[in-house]
Amino acid sequence: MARYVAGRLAALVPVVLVVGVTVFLLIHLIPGDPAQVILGPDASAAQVAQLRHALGLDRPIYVQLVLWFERVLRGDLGNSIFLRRPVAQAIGEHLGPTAGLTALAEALALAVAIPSGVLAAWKQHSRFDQAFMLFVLLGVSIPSFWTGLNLIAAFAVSIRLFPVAGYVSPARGIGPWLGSLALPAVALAFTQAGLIARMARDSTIDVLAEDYVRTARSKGLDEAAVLARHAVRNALIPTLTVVGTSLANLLSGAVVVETVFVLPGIGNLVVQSISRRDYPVIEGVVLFVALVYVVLNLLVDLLYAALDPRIQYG
Amino acid sequence: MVEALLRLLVRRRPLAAASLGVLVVIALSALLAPWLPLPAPDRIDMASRLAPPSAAHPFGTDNFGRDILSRVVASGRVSLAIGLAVMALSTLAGAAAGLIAGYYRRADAVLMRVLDGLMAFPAILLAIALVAALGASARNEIVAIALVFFPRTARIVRASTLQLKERAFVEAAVALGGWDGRILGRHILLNALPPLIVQSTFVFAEAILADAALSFLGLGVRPPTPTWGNMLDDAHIYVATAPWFVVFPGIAIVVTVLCLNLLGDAVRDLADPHAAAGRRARARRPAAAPAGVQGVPGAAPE
Repeated sequence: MARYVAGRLAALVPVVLVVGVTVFLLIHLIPGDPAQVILGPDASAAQVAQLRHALGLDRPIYVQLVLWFERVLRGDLGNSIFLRRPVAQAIGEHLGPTAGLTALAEALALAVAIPSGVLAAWKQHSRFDQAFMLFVLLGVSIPSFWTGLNLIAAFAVSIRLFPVAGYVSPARGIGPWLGSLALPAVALAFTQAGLIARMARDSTIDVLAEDYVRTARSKGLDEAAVLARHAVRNALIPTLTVVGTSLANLLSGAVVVETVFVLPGIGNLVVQSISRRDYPVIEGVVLFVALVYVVLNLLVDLLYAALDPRIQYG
Repeated sequence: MVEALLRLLVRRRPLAAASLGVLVVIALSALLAPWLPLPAPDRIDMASRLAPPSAAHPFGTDNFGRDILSRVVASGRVSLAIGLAVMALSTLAGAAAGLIAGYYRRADAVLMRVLDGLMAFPAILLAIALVAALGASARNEIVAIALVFFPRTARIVRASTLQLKERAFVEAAVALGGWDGRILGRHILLNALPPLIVQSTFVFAEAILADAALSFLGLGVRPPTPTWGNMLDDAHIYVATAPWFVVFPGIAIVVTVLCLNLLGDAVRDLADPHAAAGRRARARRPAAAPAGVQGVPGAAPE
């Protein structure tokens, strides 16, 4: 197991390098002089030169790259030009709503997806299964921000059940906090529930064809016990792999959904930073989310190996 | 050939066949938009702004009194064109990268690490950051979305290439002294086409969703040119007063993307009978080949 962990960690190095170089290059994709673009046409030559120096853009690009990695490895994501504080601090301030939203959406998605996926597999080719597959496709075909807009129209405007927009901190009560996140979480969960449910269905179908399930049935175990004790537990292991991916998708989808619901999360931070041309913040958030994704996938892989003893630690 | 495929689709996957029909209607209406008997999409009529659906305006009117049906159809031109362009670009880049990585061992290690790195970014977020840097325009948006989606296509083509290059007909072509370009193009790419076509359908669908999200955030094609995404951006503040303004552009996105996904699923299952026969078969045969390459109609090996 230790060798497996070491191997997985070593495999991460090139991925993290590519992620880093890509994010580093973002600011260099800006057409023209990034410092001039950030400050706008009214800035004086001295101001532009000062910002260029502050961003390190006046050095050779390979020196910039090395210094950039050195800085990031220390946990320093640079400074926001508009907010006048470290990017890491800005991300920290905006992380709460996004983390709450993502966690709630993931919980909702799992709660719906796993039972329905298992049921669809058990009743494979039935009407339920067909309707289920259509719902799964519908889930991945609907833009979550549009679902969000419809939810607002239905449950915040027509029936005044939830607030139209805005965020309530959990410090002001769990109920209002959940209320402020309910609609965006449902909007986000719909897509993810589809992906997870399909995985749950497919892996349950695989497991139901296994010899040990046939043995369990032929020794007279009732279906509920076969499903609960033999099928679902084994089918959940492959399903776990999509949870890591789906969390990352949720973080990314949150960018757009937060805009619809005016939640002050990191998605909102990115969108505002785009109009402020605050590139260090954009870079910082993209890097942060990509690294969260890499770490989540690593954790899922390790958990997968720990849960399924058949996996070779090669 | 095409007729036989269509008949197979109608018989075995009626829902997918219907999706194809809907897609043809959507594509034709987008293509023929200027000649359809609809009001001009940019005709402003402030007297009837935010009017609910009626005989004159089946989808209602927007905040400038413009006909929403006309605008949804006109948007289709832009949104579908962007989706097609992304599909073409990411399929070309993905096929090239996949063939090279699958065929040349040395290139494989480097290329796949780069692609793995790119895939570590959540798709929409990277596209947003790229457009934010490059500037909002149709061209930049297409490049950004294609860059985000091509690594997945490359992985699929690479997997096919790795399998195909071990097959006897490819080895025979190599032994006969065929040059690499011919082997890759004629023997490998042609046989790797079915999974590539299926993947392209999904990329098309995802590109339309990505375009909608970017346009909604003001990072796609800018008004006055309408797209489904920027219509929703205009519409979202009227969600309480004029829900039809929000509903119809969204339905256009959902119907298009859903039909593409249904079609892609059906073609995948038809092209790979193992997957269609249920995953049971795979569970019983642990050594079975992964989905997509064998038993594929067309492109018979020499």
